[in-house]
Amino acid sequence: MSSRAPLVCDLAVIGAGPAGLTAAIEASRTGARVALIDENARPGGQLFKQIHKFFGSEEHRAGVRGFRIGEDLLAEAQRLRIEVMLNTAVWGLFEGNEIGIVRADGVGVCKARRVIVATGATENPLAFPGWTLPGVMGAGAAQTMINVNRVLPGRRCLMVGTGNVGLIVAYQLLQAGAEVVALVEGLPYVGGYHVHAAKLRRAGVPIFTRHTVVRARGDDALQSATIAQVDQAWRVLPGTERDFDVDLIALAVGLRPQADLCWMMGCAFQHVPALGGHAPLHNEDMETTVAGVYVAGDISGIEEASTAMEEGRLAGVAAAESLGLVPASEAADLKQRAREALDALRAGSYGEMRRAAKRQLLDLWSAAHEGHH
Amino acid sequence: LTHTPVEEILLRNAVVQGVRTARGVIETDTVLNATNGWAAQLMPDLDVVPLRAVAIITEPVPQLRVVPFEAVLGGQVVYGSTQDAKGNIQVGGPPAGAASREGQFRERVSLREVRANVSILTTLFPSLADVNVIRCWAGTMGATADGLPCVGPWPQVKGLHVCAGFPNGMAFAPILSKLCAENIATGKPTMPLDPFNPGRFLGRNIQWPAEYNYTVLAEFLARL
Repeated sequence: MSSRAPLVCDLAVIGAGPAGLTAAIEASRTGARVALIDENARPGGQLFKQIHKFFGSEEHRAGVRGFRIGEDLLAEAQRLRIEVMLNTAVWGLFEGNEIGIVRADGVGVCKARRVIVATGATENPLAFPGWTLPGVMGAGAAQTMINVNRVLPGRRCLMVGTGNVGLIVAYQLLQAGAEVVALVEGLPYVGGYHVHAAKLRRAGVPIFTRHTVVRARGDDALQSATIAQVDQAWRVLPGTERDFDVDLIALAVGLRPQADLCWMMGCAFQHVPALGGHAPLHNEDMETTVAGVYVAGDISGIEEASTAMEEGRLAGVAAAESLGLVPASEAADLKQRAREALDALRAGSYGEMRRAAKRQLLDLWSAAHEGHH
Repeated sequence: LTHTPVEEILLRNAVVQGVRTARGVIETDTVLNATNGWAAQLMPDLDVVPLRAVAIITEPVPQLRVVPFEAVLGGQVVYGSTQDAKGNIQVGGPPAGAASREGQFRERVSLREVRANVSILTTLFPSLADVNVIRCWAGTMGATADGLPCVGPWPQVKGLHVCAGFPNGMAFAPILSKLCAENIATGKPTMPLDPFNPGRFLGRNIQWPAEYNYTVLAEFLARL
């Protein structure tokens, strides 16, 4: 291991997606010395994969395509001269905010007075016979291949899952020139927005609800898949099997918070199904149960890019405030605006569910905090 | 029954009645305490002390002639190295610093401990200097005053059995667990369990060091 002297900064932001970029920008505006760390070759996280238009209200850039929002954030980060450490993976987060990093030139340690963990989400797998064959992959991986790397991952695709990720990526696969033979959904209804589902149906793509993928076949790589109907207990109904010749099965069966670094740091967690799994408890400033360690974006519960950016804003301001870099009254004003924006984004029946789930994390943080004193 | 911590072993007139768990009482006339480093929390007279160890594992490399070892490096006892079928090399070792009995249950690994274990690996196997470590973890084991585990019936209580006190990992656990199960089921284990009698330290009143790690214990036990 390198004995290089640790790099010390006011704030380290881990992950340069919408949450991390916004957090770094907000903190940087207060004069904080910020290190923004990302393992990818370019910042932006999933924003540059999102060639579709965003939903929501005008002020949250509804109607704007995700990658445009990414370009704006990058321009602002550049204007503020934020140090973006790219191709830099964080392998550990330790007591005293010591951050283990690895780059092509070696291993090192970065030390920060505050840390914002904005590492996003990871895709859920789905196990079935043949699921390890080349050609079976996460829908997010397929999306990266077509929209970022411009490589078609397969010519004939079966999409598993009809949440927004499944619907949007299936449509983008069509746009990229693949054939989507079908979407399957275990529930009796389509999970995502119907406007996305309608585009696929207009393009003639069948959607099989109450169906699942039962097996994949192939010698060296995927060649075919069998789907079948399931009953209410998710048991396969014999005689309902259908075979498709496919060279791509994309799995869009949910995301979960990618929170390994918070686990390492000893943050308290709660399993909240509405947020995608185990999420670190945090307070209204996005601070976890470990003082000085904040979270923002999907790591604190699966939502979307607009809420991620507002949470990043909140965490960035709160971290700067705790460093004495922004007056309390100004911070209160900025945080209030971010919280109001989050409330507005968590409207509607889906939003209400997430708002209640996030409230649970806040309440548990308070309970844990009282327990400490 | 997961997420079901046992809070107390219930006795009446030195005969097992059951266990009280966080989710209610389970009545039974036979209890096996197989909680290793935690065993003395349920049986304060059992002389098994918790002992924390740290391990790291590398990415897969071609099969090497890796052998288990025990060595003294920089004044610290270090031990353990295995390579699994996929080629990942694991190095286990005690943490460099001493800790209280409570501190032996610490699950988190510090940066200093990761560095210490990596330096064990690179000192013993310099050719692995550029191999990536992919995981590290800490675990709590159980140590005894003579280095042997405690396996068999607990002499003070009818129906209470012990299988604990494995300080160097679980390599011996499968065979001793089998003998322990045979003893509970038939009273006739295929090999005698006498050397492992869990009551062998009763009355010896061993004054364990307040703060310790593997090295401190090794020196303490050598003088005992």
